[in-house]
Amino acid sequence: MCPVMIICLRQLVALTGLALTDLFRQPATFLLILTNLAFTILVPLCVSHQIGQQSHLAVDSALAFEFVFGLILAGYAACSTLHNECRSGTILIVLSKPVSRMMFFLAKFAAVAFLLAFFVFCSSTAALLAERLAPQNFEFDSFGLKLMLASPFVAFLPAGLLNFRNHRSFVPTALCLYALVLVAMVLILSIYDREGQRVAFGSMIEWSLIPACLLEGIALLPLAAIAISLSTRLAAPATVSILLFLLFTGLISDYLVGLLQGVPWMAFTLRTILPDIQSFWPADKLADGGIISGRMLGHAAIYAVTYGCGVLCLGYTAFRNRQF
Amino acid sequence: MGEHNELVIEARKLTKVFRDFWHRPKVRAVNGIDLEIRQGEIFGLLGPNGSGKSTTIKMILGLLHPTSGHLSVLGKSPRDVAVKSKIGFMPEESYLYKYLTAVEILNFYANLYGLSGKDKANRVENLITQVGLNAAKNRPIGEFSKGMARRVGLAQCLLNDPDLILLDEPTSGLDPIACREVKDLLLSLAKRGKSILICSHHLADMQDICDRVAILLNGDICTQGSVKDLLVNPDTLRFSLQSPPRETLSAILDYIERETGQRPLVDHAGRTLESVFIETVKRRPAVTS
Amino acid sequence: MMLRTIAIAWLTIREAVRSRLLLSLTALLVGGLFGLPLLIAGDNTLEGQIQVILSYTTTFATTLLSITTLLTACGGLSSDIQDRRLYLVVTKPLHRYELWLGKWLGIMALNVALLTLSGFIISAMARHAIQASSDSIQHKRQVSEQFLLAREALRPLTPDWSQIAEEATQRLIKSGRVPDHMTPQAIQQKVIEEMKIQRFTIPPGGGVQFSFERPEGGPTGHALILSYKFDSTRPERSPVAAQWTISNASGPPEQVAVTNYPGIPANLVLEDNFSPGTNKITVAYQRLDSHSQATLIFADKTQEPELLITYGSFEMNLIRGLIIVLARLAFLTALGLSAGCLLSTPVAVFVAFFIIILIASAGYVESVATSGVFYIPHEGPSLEQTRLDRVVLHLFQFFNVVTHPLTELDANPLLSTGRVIRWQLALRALGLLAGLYGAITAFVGIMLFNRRELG
Repeated sequence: MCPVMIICLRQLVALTGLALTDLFRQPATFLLILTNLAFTILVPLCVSHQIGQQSHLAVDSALAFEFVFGLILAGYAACSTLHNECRSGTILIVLSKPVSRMMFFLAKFAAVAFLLAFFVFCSSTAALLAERLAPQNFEFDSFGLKLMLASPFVAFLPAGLLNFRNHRSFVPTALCLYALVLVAMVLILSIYDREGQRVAFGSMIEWSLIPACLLEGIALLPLAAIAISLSTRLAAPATVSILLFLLFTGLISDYLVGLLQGVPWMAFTLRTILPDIQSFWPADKLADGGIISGRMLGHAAIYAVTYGCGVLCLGYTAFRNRQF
Repeated sequence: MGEHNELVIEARKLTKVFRDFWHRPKVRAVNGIDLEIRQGEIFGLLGPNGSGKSTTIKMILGLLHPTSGHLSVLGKSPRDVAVKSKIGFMPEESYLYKYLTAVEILNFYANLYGLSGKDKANRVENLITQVGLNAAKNRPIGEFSKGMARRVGLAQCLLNDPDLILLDEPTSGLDPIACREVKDLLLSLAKRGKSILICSHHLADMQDICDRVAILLNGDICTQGSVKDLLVNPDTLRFSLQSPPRETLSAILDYIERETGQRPLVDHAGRTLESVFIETVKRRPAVTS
Repeated sequence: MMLRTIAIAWLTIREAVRSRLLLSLTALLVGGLFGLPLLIAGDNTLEGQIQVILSYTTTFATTLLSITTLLTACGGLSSDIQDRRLYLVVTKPLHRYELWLGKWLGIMALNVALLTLSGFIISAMARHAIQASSDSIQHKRQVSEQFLLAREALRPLTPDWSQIAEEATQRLIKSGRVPDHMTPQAIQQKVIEEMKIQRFTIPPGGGVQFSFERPEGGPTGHALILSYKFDSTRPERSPVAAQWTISNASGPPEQVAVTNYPGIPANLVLEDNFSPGTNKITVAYQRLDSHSQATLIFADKTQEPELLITYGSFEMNLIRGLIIVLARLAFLTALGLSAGCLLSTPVAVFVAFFIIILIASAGYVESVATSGVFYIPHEGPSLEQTRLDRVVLHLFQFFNVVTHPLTELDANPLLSTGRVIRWQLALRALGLLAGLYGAITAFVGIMLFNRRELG
């Protein structure tokens, strides 16, 4: 690797690392991720009057929460890392170094993408737990429930202790520990049944949810690209509002395109511009025992990357000539 | 400097300890200081970064609550709202509303002081003129340079004709001419009986105008007193006279050496860089494009 | 004090204007109010279109303003604290509660302006939709009468069950068809139950009658609307042919043939041809399908037929509805400002929205609180509650008491169906949401703000 590339790589890693550290330390990030996890895992506790549909409810809710919270997290993270840095003036110090604007912009996007990856990881484990904890025939999994109620204490107490003893920041420590605790819970519940008896590994967990959560994670990437592009000019409320609006229109894009059938070029433009959210919605595909295949994930990834690159180019164009 | 009378600020064993989330002491910013500032004097608070100057000022303004000790401002608690009608404060940075113009912002603060009608309009107009912002008075603050924003900060500080003026780095961001104007203004205010407390790193400015100073270090006052007494070195003398002929000078120096055993150092009296700058700028005509 | 508070309020308004928040919000509001009815396909009837307009636009305006109010309020104080602009304000001679109140007033002034604009647009759109429709003039008038008036619902007069039952009981006892072990009171009770069932069930070819008493002195000249809905005992929801006979003390009875579907609300528009001073109106429903196997049920007491009479104008009703919305916005503003007093902007937004979601979950909370069904233990089929269940249940019951008033004061369902929103309801909303809940939230917020250090 030539020295220039090594320097660029170092710069990218440094900028991304700093942005990611900053994002992880923010209370809002912690609250958003934690709330998503809490909603996902607590939904199975709500008594459903549709017999036999409890698992379905838990899975659908988990996927929906992941999508909406992921979108809000993407919008907030993008603005927090890019827009606020422009507003406060700290960007001047960075850009006065031999760092290109392209590098800076991509590093910010990478930081948001990594944060979303962590979020999707946590959401996926929570979705697995939610499906497992969903009551069957109105009977709860009390073994799993006790584990679930104990998990925040197991994660947050050590984080609090580390903050007390070693002055380590509570938020990132708590987040990482909670992610580990969730993984541990999944592993434990995969080898114990509802009565606490040992069973074959993995028989009690619906592993097909992982590709579904991954599909949604891939959907969040182009939305993160939109968020970072918007945050070059707009603050958090405007960015999140536009993202939610795009989510809404993306979900009804078929209907909107149908309205424009008489004007083909408009229909084509609309279909190109609006992110195709419906293709990323895995709940319909999981219904009636369907699975998310690797091919499906591949197609989704290609679409996400292509769409994301296009949006990032537009965002960079807005950022390139911006004066501070 | 006029006669100094009653106390406007009195602090006894004033302490401020910042605590962490677990309520453990984290930083002892101010450590049991005793401070007295009298009416009509200009008092300077000096110290390196992190010595507790800003914390002290914030406690005087009621923004922070003392951990222990006694503090009274104009005879009352700093948290008493009525006291603030007699205080003017100029912070280190110009924390102004960027979407308001200079006139609007002064009108807003004037409303908070309870001023209204013609009195308010007159004061705002006079202060705008006094700080030299007539040409830019209808532009949003967001378009101002740092120096211009500082002038607005100074203007709002004087809106209510305060008895006590607190200034944090008042000359920061100002050019030497503006610095001189600010210092002259502060001196004139002190002559009118106003009490002024200044925090600054510009020691030359502080030496110029302060009656008394205190030097803070790690939250303690390590030196306090009048500027004259602090600066005087009683062990040495300085003579000033018109340059004599070389032979006369040599004879004088020889005589002193014979009598005292020391040969004095001789140097020409100089001017300050500030005065050179001001003279130069005022001498040159303004360049118009 | 007023001058300082107003200065802060005026500053808040200016900030919203100059930061283009007001402009973008107005554009979003206007765009949504005009765009939503175009996007949402109704049932292609004029009634459906008007319902879409009234229902979706009011919901959209309420939701949008609620969210933006909360966001603005959360950032109102916290962003000033973060950016330290507040230093130059709190060091002036004003109390912190004046600052808090000024911010609240400023945000509420913006809400009043936007709600007024929404009201104008909604009213204009509804009227324009009717005028521009290609339906007949008579139908347009009927739809206008149905939706663009505030209507009060009259319940049918309840017969004196005791007297009727007593007479029936005496007859039964005399006939000797009553078992010996039954007391006259027990027989009377059974008779009343049977009569109530018969009143609301209509066998094939059968009929039922209701009487309504109109209050004196109400507005006249507008049509009356008989609103009803029935269910069928058969799963197939075949249409039912029937006839309504409307009669009063003076004048000949009027007969109207109708065909309705079970489970679908129906409205019968009656011209107010009744002579002045006619207060009692009787309506009789007679089925014309004697060969059908379905028995119709006029649901239970809460869904019996209603006679909708004119109470007042649509615009006044809309104003009262918007007052309820304003009361809710007042509470949200107080909540956002109080959260912003203590927390940074994103965390304050989060906490405020979390509280709103808790309030919005009031339906679930209420069902748990009243039914007591929350957690069914895995061990065995018994529903014996553990200590944890009891604690959580008490918590839910407490939440229900707190959140119930916040959710029952909702004007949108009434507005979209042309039902009256009384002044009592509007003032109750103001008193409860803005007055009580808002005041408590404000008190907590100001208290926290007073104790907060700003260094």
